Amino acid sequence: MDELTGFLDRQECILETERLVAQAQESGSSLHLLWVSLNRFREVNTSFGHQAGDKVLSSLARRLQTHSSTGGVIGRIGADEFVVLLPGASQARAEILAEHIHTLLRAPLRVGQVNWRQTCSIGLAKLGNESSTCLLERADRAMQEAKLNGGSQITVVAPDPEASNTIASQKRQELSIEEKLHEAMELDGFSLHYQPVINVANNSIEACEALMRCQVREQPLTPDQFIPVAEKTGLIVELGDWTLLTAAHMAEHLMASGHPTKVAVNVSRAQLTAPKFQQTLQALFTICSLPPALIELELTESLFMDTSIAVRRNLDAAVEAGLSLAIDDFGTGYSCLAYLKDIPASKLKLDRSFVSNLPRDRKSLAIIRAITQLAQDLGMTVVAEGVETAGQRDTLVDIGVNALQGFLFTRPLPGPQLESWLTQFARS
Amino acid sequence: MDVPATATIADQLLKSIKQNGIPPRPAILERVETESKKPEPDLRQLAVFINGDVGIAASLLKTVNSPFYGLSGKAHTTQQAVNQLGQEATVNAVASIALQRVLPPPPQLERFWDGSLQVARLSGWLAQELSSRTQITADHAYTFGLFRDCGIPIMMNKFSGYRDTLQAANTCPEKAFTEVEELQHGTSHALVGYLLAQSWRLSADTCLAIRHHHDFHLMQANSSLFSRHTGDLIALAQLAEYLLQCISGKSLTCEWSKMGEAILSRLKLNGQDIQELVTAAQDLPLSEN
Repeated sequence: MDELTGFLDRQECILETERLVAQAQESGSSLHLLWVSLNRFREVNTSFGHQAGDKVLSSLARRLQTHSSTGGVIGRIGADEFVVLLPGASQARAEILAEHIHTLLRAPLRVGQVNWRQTCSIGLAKLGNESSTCLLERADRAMQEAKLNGGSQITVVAPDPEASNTIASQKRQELSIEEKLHEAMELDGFSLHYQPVINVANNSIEACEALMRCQVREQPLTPDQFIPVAEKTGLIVELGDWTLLTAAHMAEHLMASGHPTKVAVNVSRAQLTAPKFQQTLQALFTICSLPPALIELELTESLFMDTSIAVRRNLDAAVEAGLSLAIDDFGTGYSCLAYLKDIPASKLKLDRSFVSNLPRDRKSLAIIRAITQLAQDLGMTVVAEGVETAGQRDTLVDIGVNALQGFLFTRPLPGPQLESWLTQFARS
Repeated sequence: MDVPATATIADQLLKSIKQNGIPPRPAILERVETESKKPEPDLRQLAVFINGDVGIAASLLKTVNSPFYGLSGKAHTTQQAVNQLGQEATVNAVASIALQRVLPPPPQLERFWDGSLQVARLSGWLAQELSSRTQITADHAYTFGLFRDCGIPIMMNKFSGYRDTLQAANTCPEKAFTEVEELQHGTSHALVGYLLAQSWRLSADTCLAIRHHHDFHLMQANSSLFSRHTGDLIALAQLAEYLLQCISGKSLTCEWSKMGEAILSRLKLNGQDIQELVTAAQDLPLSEN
């Protein structure tokens, strides 16, 4: 049982869904599943603290309990997500109930000095000829679709046996990755590799980007595989802290061994919205004798567009503490130019997709030239990622890009190899 | 394998602490951990590594033979100790011993480790006494008890006014202990200890328990932020601290008034149970060297 809300906890939700699916399939009766996700709930935690967050959550749970449990089973499937199982209910009744939940959660709730109106996104799925995992997955997807359509919506999905098979196999893969992630944490399966960024003007090292690697029982997991799962399960926060710490130790080590170099670390939204980001940074510099200027935080552009107070406050605090910020993979997202003037980033990293078609592709060339000019006028250093050929290098240098990173110079290297590489680079 | 002499390791570590402020993961711990995390760890090899450092080997025997570790038989050799403990508990034991060695108490807190050691021992004992209520092993509780406050000596070395902050945090009845530290220094011993434990690669539960051990709001709300193990570790060590205060008659902190009720409810204990635990704990050799 989930002790905060009194509902079924995640594990029990899964088991109960399994049981009700089997029961419905055996008796030929209907089963509907509502997946309710609270919109922007993290903001309550970050703005008012976890204690307030937990209070809000239990108040909302009470409303759900009082108004919607007639014949249904409620469970807390995630930190701010609930499922409502409705065995035997008609489609119409399930839809009415979804509307009802939507309305009753919106009633104002006192949090600190403000009246908080909690909106939610709901996915509604009817059981087809499928497993309980498929049903849960479809309701989850419908909820995500509701969120994408602007949140505060209800999306209803019909059973789709073909899609269900694909989804089930995706889900199985995700669960297997989640299991491997836990194993990797227990068995020290994570490590950082570092890729140098070369400053063109004086042929020096601009920074080294720390990249996470994961290996479990000699089987590698790629970041594309494990990062989304780590984000979904919340493990990304601990992993992020570990990455910052390990990168800071590396920067400390490089400084002590005569290669004072900035180390760049990728930071996720989950880290920036987690409680005590600033205090964790301060703790980092309490235990490491390291000038904060030797740590750079790399953020994807969506983070800069994030309007949440916590993200902005934490980014400003990081800059105030002396760290630098870089916009990573610029050009792949919304690339909104307006935010470039407001954000405290000092570096812009062009996405590798522009570089890969150089020197022939004139459109890529024009885009890189324009972005470089703009960023430099704004006082930013421009880095091109994914440089693999001498032709690409020469073109980028001609355009006036400040620094280059890619396999042409070296692949990402484990710590000890990076040190040898830097020694050799300094000699050359 | 070439194992450096004890003095060399200790010298290197102390030099590193002086230069960097943070004790890096000791080489012996690294070796023991690497071996223990192999798919088929060799317990003989673990004993060989530990025997390479006479001081650690001697302390290991003393630690595991104490009643607080709850081993069934007495270990006479390092190999017997390792065999009885198993690889995971061996790593915990070596980490606990190494910690006290590499993190010397600051001059203002000479008896720092004595206090932590008592909490660790009593936590180990409580884990055995309350084994029907938690799934925490004695070695896990012991390690957490010892590491729980390891951020304090580091904060003391770093911030000149930290002693006053400690005093204020200990006597503040409303705010969380760590909140008082954060207001003064921008961070807390819990976060510093959490990062130290992460860099020493202690278990995820131990790291999180160090991070949250003063977050009484989370304990009261039984927050989903941490796992059952993490919450239980915090509860056992806090109860150990309270029992010590009952035994000595000295109460230097307000933590029990903030967390006591939540801990009793978590561990399903009542006032009578606590009285019995205090009586039983009075006879334990908690201060023995």
